[in-house]
Amino acid sequence: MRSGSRRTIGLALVCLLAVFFVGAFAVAKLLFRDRVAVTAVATPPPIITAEPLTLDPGQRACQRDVPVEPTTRVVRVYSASPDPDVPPLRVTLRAPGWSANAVSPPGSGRDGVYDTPVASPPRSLLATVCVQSAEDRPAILAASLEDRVRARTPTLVDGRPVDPRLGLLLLEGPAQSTIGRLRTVLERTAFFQPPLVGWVTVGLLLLAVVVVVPGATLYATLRALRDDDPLR
Amino acid sequence: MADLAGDADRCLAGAVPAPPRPGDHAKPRPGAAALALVGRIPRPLAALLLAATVLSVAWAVVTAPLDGPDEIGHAAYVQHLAETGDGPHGGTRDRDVSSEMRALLFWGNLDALARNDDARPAWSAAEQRAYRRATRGAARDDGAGPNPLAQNPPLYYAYETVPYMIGGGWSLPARLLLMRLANLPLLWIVVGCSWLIMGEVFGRRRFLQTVGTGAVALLPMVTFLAGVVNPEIALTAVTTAAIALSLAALRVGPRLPVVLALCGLGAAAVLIHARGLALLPAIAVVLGLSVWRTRHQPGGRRRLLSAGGAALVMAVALAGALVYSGHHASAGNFSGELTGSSSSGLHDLTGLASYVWQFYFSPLTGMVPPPGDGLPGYREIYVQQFLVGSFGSLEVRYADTVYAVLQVVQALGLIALFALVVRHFARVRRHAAQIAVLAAYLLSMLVLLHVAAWQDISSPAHASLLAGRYLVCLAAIFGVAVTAVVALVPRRAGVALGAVVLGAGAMLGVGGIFVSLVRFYA
Repeated sequence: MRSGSRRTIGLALVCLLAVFFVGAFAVAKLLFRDRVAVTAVATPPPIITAEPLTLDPGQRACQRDVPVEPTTRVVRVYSASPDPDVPPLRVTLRAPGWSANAVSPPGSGRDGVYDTPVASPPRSLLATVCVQSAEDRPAILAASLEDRVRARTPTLVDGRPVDPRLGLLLLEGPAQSTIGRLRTVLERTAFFQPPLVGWVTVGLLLLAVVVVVPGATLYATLRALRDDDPLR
Repeated sequence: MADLAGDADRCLAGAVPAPPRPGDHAKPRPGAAALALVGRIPRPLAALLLAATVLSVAWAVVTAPLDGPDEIGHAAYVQHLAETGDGPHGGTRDRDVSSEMRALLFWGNLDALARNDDARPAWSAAEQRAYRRATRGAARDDGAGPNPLAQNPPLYYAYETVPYMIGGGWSLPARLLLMRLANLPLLWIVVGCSWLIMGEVFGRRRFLQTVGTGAVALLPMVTFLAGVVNPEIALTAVTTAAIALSLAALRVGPRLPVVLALCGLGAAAVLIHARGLALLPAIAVVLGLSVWRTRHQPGGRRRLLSAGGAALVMAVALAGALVYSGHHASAGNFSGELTGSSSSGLHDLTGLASYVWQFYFSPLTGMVPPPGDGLPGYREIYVQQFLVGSFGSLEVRYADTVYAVLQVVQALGLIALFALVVRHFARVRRHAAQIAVLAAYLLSMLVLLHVAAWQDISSPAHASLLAGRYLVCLAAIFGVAVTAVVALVPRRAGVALGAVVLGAGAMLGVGGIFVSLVRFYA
């Protein structure tokens, strides 16, 4: 092979590796960034416009068929109160043979987010989750009427379905990186797949994506340049 | 750019055949013949096919069930067709999907997923138990409609009934995965035909062929659409094959097999989707051009007759598609984005011209904005949804920086293409017929898309149904444009540029898979 061809191939190699490096950095940043460790999204929060859902003292907003996992540690709802001086919330979770309740810690809700630590169930179950003001004053929570905010079951206020859908998330606890809970992410990916597609298979597939796609691209480029070499 | 004659004939030949040996006359086993054929695939093409396949399989697994673009409607169509032998209907029936699919949507939390990246699919054991209880004995054949896609012609859905029925004894999610994976042969057609197109246009210059084919095979939207149940990938396969055959027709003339195959592809296109209509005028241009180019050769009358007869095949297919759509649609219209076409639009050609101008450019003084709020324009459709990509039901996106950078890059690319074409006009002009063919496909599709979009926008609902994925069927023309720039710049700059294009395609694909993984399951 001529030195000119070698230089051309070297140039292509350098360009490809530079692009791969940038791409790998971006993917690593995505996977190592901490994000909310969700165990279930019963109803997503409002996207653009929050619809205030006012719960008078004693009124309860509930949602049925909410999956609660042994890893669930926190119930999150959103405040829509214009005043940061918000009342604490009482959160109740009930399922056949299990229940838990807790009051949101002092200061929770001031920044628009109520995070209430709760006891975890011993096994995965479907619960009814209710929230209510824990003081003798109303709680104003963030619900949504947006078409893109949908939930499996409607929000119930004192047992009656209402149009606004109350944002309700269940979390593992503090934010974590995706890479730190990779096994969980892979298991979830394999969840609604046929038995052949387990978390190991998904992991191997992702490994193939990371290795084969850049590798095949590199090979195709260099091989094509070599095939074009008139002195080969 | 190289001369054209005979290039494509050799494109797939990777090596000089070995001389015959004793016993070679024996009939080869089918497996051995297939292996020999695979062995003849040029190595760069094989590598690109491998990369595209891995990406597409990953999209199929990572994208939550039924969260592809309009995938609920497409999958429900396939299921009803497979279970009853008839497609679903529009109108006022009472079940948009079957009871079995409804159970998956409900317990999989999949209804909530579309277009909201804060929502998550189900992944708890409790939901899976509830899903299993709900699907026990759930009907599969009661999803007669209303299905918003009922007016789509049935060819792609009929194709998808094969994997559906192969997995008939499996759970619905398993059947859905099989249906997604069944798109792989269509993806291979797209990639293989792109290779042939680059061979026709740029000659047997492997690097240019590789860059052009890689620009298609690694375009994230191509592999993504091959990883979900959606007729877009079938229309892309047919369009890419038609473009490849059209370019070959220019070289070999309007031979009967070529003409028949071309019209067969046109017929398939209109039986896949109404947007396949765009192929018919383009194919007519190709037939006219190739007949005209051979007008001094004997047998002109016969060629004209064969072209006319083959065009009849397309007319029959179109009539069939229209009858099917009329029977199944609620309003007697022909497929998806052309739904509003009978109600409004073409009487206001000034409005159409104004809308198209404002789609691509800033409004001129005195121009009234088209009706509707926040209509997508060139940046959203061409850059964000086609070139870079938006996945899931458009809610899965890269970081904003990626779109911003690629917007600048594509603008520079367009400027470079224009400048290089002007500078090398004499070289480019030698390919006038090929450029005319590519332009016919490009313009035909764009005119159809804009007219259909204008009809929807000017309807009372002011809906905008134009999406970047509708441009994916033109991916091969995008590949030609990219490769033209690489071919026309100085050699070393072209090599660097080509490598960057291929590397960026690969990394966008890999990145898109991980963005989807995080969006759905983290």
